[in-house]
Amino acid sequence: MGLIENRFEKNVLVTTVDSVLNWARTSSMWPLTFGLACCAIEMMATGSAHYDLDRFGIIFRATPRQADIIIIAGTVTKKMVPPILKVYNQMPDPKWVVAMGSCATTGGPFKTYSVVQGIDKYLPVDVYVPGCQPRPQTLIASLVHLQDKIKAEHTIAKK
Amino acid sequence: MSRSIAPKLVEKIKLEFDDVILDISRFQEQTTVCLKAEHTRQVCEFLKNEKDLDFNLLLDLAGAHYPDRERDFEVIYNYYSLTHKHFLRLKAQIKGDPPRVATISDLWKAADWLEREAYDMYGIIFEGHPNLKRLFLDDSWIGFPLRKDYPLEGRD
Repeated sequence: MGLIENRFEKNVLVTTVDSVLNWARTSSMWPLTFGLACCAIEMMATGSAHYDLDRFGIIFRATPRQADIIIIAGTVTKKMVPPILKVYNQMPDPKWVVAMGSCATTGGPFKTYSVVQGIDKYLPVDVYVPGCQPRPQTLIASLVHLQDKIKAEHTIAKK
Repeated sequence: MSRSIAPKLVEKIKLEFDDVILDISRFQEQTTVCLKAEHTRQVCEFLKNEKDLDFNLLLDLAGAHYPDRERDFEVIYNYYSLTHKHFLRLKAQIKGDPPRVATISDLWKAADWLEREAYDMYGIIFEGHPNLKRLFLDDSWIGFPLRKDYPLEGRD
């Protein structure tokens, strides 16, 4: 995107291209499988048959190179932070971060020496999903919220 | 369910190590022997090699910290005999800073990582251990979290 990003005034042509880009991005958000603890089970349940995520275009990818969003699902210990950063840095732009569950949001019930009190101390979080664990409907609602956030972005038009 | 060791075998242990044992107690079918940690190695070898006792399975090894006691650290060994099907608990009480006790990782392979865990959490040094490094925490971590004077939230 580099050369044309944020360069042009908002006119009819550019806003249409932006909305096409946003449509493409929201319709195929591919998360990186990053289940750490119990929230991973709920994430798997959301991805499975009953609360299908595939109908939103959300397919879980095991490699960060092909992922758009990273859903931090579970308790983040201090020992886990270097791998998370390594994997996050390997994701290409544009990327978004969803902090799922109480532990990823604020450390959850674990205010201890080994747990990071919220992954937003290390990563720029776009959507926080409350719950312990959040029900599949909550996770789906948060991903739809992320879609709304992406739709409001201007990539080509100046902000 | 837990079959405790027969009293006459406990007597045998007591006779062999009378000067070293601090206390022997039995509660709800579980026998516990408390001893001074300096002699842990001899007692453990006896427990393993003596045919009547034959404790060939180390079930668990855990550390403990009692800051109000003179012998403030403790290592708790849980033994089982696969041949005689009896259990025994050994509590080795340690004093000193840093707390030291002999390793038993050459007698029971299970003790290798269990002693590393006790070192990681309590700072108990197992002398003769082939690889006494931290197990759960990062190698660069300073401090021993499960000691009673370590705050829950950690120090930063």
